[in-house]
Amino acid sequence: MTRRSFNLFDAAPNQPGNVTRRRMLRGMAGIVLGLPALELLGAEAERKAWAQSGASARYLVSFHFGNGAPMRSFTPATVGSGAPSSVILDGLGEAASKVLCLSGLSTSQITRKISLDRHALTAMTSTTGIAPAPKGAGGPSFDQLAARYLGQATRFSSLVLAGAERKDPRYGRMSWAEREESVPPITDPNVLFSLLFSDAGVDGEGIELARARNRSVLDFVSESVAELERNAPQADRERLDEYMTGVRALEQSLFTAPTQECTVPDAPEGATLDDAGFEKRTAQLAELGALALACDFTRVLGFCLVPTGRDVVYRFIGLGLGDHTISHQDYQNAKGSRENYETMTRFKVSRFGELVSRLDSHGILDRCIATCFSEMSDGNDHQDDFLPVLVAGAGVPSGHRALGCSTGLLADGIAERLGADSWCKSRDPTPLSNLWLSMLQAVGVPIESFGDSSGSVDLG
Amino acid sequence: VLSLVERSLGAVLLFVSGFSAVSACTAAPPAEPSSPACPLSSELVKPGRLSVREYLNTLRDVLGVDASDLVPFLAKDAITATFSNSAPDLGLGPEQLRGFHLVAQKVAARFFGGDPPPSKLPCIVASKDDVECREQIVETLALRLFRRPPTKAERARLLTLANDETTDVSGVELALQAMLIAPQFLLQFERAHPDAGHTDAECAEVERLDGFAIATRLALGLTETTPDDELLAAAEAGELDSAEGVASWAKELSSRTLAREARKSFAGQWLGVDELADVELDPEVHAGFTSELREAAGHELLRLSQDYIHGDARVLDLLTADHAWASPLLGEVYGVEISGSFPERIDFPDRGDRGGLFTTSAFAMLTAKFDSVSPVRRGKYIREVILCDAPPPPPPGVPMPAADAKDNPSNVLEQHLDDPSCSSCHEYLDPIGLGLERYDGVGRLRSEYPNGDPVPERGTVVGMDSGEFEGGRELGALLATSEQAARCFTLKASSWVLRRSLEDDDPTLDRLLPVFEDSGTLDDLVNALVVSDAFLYRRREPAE
Repeated sequence: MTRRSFNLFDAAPNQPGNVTRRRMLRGMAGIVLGLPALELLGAEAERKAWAQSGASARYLVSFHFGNGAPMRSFTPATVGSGAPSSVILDGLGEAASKVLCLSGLSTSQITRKISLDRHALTAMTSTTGIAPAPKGAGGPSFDQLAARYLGQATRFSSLVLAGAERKDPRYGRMSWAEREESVPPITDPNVLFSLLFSDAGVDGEGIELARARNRSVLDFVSESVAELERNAPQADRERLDEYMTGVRALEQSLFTAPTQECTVPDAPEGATLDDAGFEKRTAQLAELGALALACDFTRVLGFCLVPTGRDVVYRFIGLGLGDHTISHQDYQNAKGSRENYETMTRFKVSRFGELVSRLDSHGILDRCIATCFSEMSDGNDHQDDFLPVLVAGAGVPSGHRALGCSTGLLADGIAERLGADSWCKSRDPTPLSNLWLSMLQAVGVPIESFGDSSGSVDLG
Repeated sequence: VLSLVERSLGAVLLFVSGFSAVSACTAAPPAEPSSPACPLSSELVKPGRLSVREYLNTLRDVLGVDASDLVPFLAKDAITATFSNSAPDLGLGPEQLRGFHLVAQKVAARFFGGDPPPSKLPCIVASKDDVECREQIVETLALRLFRRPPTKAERARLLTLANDETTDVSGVELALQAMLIAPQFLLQFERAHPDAGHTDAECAEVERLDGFAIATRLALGLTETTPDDELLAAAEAGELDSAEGVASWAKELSSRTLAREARKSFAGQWLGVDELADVELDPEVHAGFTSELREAAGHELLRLSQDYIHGDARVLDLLTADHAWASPLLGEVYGVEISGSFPERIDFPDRGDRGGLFTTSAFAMLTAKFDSVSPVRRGKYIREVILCDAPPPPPPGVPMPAADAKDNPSNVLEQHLDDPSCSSCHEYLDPIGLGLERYDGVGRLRSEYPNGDPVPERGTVVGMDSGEFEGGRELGALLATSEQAARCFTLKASSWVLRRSLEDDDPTLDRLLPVFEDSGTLDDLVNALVVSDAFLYRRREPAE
């Protein structure tokens, strides 16, 4: 009668006295969540299996910022190895020595054929590598594809965060579970904290009782689904399928045993949800996001710092204009507007640098493959044929590589500066999808192509 | 590529049929007329999900629990439609369910942990063996939350939970948690009436909904909350099986305070007031802009809209409103003195450049850019909100004008109209905005641009007969009497009450338009809608 396809649910140990709980001690920061010996063994076995899988990384991080970058100030002056440096990339700080800058990646080969608002169009195309559908992206984004493969063993198949939102998902969201199905991001650090550490402070018996309760609740709803499905029209059954996907994910988050020890941090405090709280809020989100990876609560982290087209005002770095407005600096045509765009983008890139440093200090950077990108190059003309892209993590050396050529690149004089003749041989841009494919392969996703990929990008 | 002549020809043809005047710039074909006998759109409608507001209101009305502080735990809905209650579009995947689960636990704890009001809780569980009270609680709550009596199997399962005292919460609390994340509660599954045929035998492909489904549509569509006991009893008694019964219940519901609240919620989303909170403007360009003024302007437009969406008032008279509700801050913008500290009604007897939606401060702010007034955005607002025929966004590869819009936007507009790749759409937008240049970015009157150039006087609604106007009041008068605006409002209001985004060729609109054109009131439109086929019937699933 009841559908019993939830293996995680059934596998959850049920017998009283079977000690499998992580112990989260009452509300104290700095408390280490211990693991019983048996579970550590299980975690160890899982780790070994991963090591044998041939994947070079275990965690995938997708960090996005909207409204592009002034590419002349973003792109390093030379191609080669060593920490990439430019007016903007110097904002990476010490993380620069871990970062590879990739020039010449593009989505214009897709977007140039489509009539849609350029902000929404480039945002949806950038993470999916295909043309958008009417109500959203045309397919899953690369981070969510990774979540399908990496997401089974951890509490959350992915965590999707954002520093700011927009009502319309076609602008506001970078993560897509399916065609037209976006993943709503968490924007409030307190919500993220309570999601990750809600049972901190509950003792073993309390956790056991809560599990029994959640099991009863989920039994009730899955039995209800079975009853509702009987003789239901097709449209109803499709809705119930969607609901059951949610139920399974909920089970996973409620019943998945931890794979390693974890330290409960202090609860985040004092960040408001408006522009004034942006600096603090995004730092807290990044910190908790990095911790969620380090604690192995999830293996996929999506972080949209600021969505495309939004006018967040960064007063804390001396900018009185909105983000989107600043990105149209040529249109502004005002004195100092390019400097504003540089200052703003430098700040955004510095947020990625901090994230990389955090992953490093947790000792997991060498098991991550992390990217930082925007959906456009120079925001003023909404072009997307020479995107700002950074990569860091497992086996990725620092440096600057040029992967393709583009008209935007030539027009901006960047190619000339880089000695374009040596590498700018073809006018064909390199699809951004090539990088996503390589990142997915790095975490062991068994695919040969992604979106409009024409090959992979060597990240070694 | 169409020539300009072909394009304008397309435009003329399209003006004749319904909306889509402006989709002339993409030359969409006019809609096929649908079969007049059973005017239901041909699509099967996906079951709806409660919107966040409907969910919160339901918790308030059924449990007496205020859960508004828990909203941050709920995933934000992806909204591509005008309204947040576009129920079939609302997702219920992993992130949403996680949020609903978290809130369910907290709400159940608040209900049983606090002092549940006796009106909401029929009895107090006296002892371990008090099975009778547990049954009563389950029965009462399930009826309201599932918006129908629970089935035998549901009742049995809920009672098992309600008698389970082996978890960290009481049995009844456990049962409530389960109900609060159940698909029967969060989703809206509708059943066909046992005697399901259409009164017109030719309409074999549609079936009538049962009383509980109609009660749910009525309560959610008119009061943004779950049906109350009386309405559910009426459904049980068969009162909603006839169009007359539905009409009389709709009138009853519309007279309630809850309906006023729901209409306010509608107006806020229809006019975009809800988006005002995100508007940031540069006070150095838009003199006087503060968050206080923004808030006052939002309140004003909501308050003003109330004067036109109830009773005998004609909705589209909002476009030519003869008064404002000005707080002291807004008084400064409108050039009138407000003595007290509360908003006051200000009448505009001489009806110069003041009066109506397009002269409000909220309209000016909603359509302003961070650092400039944008005639393009003003035109776009009017096409989207009032005429339902916004042109598509710029095609790929269109360079943005390089000129500076801040001092005097007319040079940007000239570029728009000179370049045929821009003008095919911008001719529908910019000329409207030009006639509103006399209002600055917060709605204050001005006669010249920052650089001293005089602002233009005259605007044109391209595609409309005698579409010329000067200022917001004349524009309001022009649009308030247009068939296109009436049809557009019929579409918006119907989408809100039906809780799904209607297509602009939906046959329901053809039925309702004459009613609305004749009376002009939202009440009459709603009363006609709730007895229409779109409300009482659904398309039958094709046999396999």
